[in-house]
Amino acid sequence: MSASTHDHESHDAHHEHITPLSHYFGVFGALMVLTAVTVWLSHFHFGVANTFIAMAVATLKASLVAMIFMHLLYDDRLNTLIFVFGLLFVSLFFIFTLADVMTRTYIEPGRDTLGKQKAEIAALKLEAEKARKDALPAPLADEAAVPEAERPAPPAPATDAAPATDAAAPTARPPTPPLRAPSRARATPRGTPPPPRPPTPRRPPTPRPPPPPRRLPPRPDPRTLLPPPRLTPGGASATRSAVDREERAMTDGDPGHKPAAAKTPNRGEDRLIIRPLSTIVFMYPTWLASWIFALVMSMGNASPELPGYSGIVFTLFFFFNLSIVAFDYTRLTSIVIALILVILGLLSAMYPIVGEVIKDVFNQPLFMNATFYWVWAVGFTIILFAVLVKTRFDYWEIKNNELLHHHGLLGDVERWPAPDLRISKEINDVMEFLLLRAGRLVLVPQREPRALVIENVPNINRVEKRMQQLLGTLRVDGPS
Amino acid sequence: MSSIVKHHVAHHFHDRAQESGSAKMGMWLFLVTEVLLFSGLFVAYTIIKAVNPVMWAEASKQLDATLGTINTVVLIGSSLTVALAVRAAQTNQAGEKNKQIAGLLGVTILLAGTFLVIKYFEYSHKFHVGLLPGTHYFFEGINADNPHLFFGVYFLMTGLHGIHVVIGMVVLTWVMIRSMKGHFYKDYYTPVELGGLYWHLVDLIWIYLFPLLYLV
Repeated sequence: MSASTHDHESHDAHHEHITPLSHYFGVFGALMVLTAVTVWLSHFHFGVANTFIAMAVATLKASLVAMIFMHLLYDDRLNTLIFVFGLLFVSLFFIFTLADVMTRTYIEPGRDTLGKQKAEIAALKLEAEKARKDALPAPLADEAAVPEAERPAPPAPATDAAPATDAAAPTARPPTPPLRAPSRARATPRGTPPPPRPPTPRRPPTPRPPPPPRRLPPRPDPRTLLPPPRLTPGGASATRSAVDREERAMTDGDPGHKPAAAKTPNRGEDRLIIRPLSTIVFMYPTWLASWIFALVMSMGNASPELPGYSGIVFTLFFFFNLSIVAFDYTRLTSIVIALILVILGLLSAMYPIVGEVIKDVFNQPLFMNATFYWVWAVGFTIILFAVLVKTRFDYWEIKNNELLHHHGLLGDVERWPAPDLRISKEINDVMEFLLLRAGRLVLVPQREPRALVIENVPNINRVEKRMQQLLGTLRVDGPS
Repeated sequence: MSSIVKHHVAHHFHDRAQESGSAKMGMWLFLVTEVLLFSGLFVAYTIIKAVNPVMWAEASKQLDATLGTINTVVLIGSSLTVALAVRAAQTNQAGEKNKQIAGLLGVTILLAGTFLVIKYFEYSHKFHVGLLPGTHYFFEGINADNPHLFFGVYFLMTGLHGIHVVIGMVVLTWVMIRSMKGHFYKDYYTPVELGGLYWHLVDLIWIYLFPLLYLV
């Protein structure tokens, strides 16, 4: 009884999310800083990038206001959808108007834009000519930038987010063969002795009560409770448990984690939210490098050799990042790469010619100007921001008795009962682990034929530990 | 004074969550039409600037970026106070926060007034020296053709925005008076919230207007 009232209350509370004061003041501070940044940046002349940067900063500010002050972040998703569609229509205005106005002179050279009186047309044309001759980069810059001028970003998240959803968060991807076999094999022995277990409703209206009856029968015989993962025949589960053991060792070896409550975003007590990331976030070194070089190159007269060197460094960053996205740096691969580097080092020590060749390769200056870095920095920021927004619409929630997958703009939910949830953690890519301590979680809920694979979970060790705590609580208080 | 007047859910709604949800959705639809209204002017801005880039840069130097920055800070501050007012209403249990809601809304209205006063000084300077749209233009200090186009866009955009500020002040005054009467508490604060949303939109538009007009 009291449980259901409580549910109702919490449902209401969810509807009317009360933002902590600190968020409001934090956003206010951020808006002040961003205003200062806009004013400061307006003193530089980046050409093409000027309007673009100003609009990107304005869009960042506007998103902060919309998400926190206007509560879109916590509100009914439909409102966000309405607003985003409004912005898409605005972009339609721009696209079609500009597609017309900007191309008239190509089609009908005698007639200029806006249908003015002849004298005025002549004046406009003369001015445009003059402008083109006087300051070639500036007007070109303006013309190119202006189509983007109005809110380029809000539509962008929507379009960016769509492909990213597919790439980054496979909801229930068919697992690797070894995973499928054990879970199927497990389902059969579980199905055969139904008498002791009353059938669990797939979506229990009040999730708390069911566990005790289900837990109680196996309790007398601990072997039936423990073995399921091991019951499965074949080498697959053996390797799996080996991997698990190894990873548990890694977890214990990881010095970084604290009591995992810090990780859980909302009320940390009874649930854990996992927001899988898009693979693109592993490219954050490139993103940082583009900002740093953009700022350094705009600072004015640094060393004349800077553009050439920065180009090389930036490109190295970029290719390094691309390789992280492209391959899995397994432990073996990493060792092989390290060996190759060591051998190269030894070779260049023994034969100076090798060192010379390497030096020559990296001594070719690669020239990139400030505008290049600005465009990269801002473009990359927008994409990362879109990824951040996407994680609000695609995440996993783990409570101590159920597992939920929230996805889509309107907040679709899939849920599985969490008791007997089999969890395994895989850290396949050493680089991804180093960059964001990220890894992959594989969840196999009871009676679910497919494994649920969550890729790119940041802070994987902390998340896994917290999951064990959450799901472990049930074992303690379930039967009592 | 510190008591509340209970709100009754209109009979065609199932419960208060549905009522406030519907109201909010209606407000967002309205805000979208507002964005579309302004976007027409933003398109005009884009085209006229693209056709007259040099004139645009020259003419925008006539605007006082310092006053524009101050106004930006004032408006963002007012956005904060109105957001805090909504929060106060959300946590108002039994009327103990009526005064706080009204006070925060009062500060918001004062900041809006400050914005308009600063805008008045900017406008009156431009009227005085002849930085005006169309045939009213008589300023001689801009070395480019057709600078009146810039001021046509400037006055239309900031003027329409200014009208929104005035309407926002009226709406917030009404909300403030009702909040003093104790109409808003944790279970019913829709007018505070929707008034706040409107005010945030006014802020949002200015966030774009400021760099586009003052800092280009």
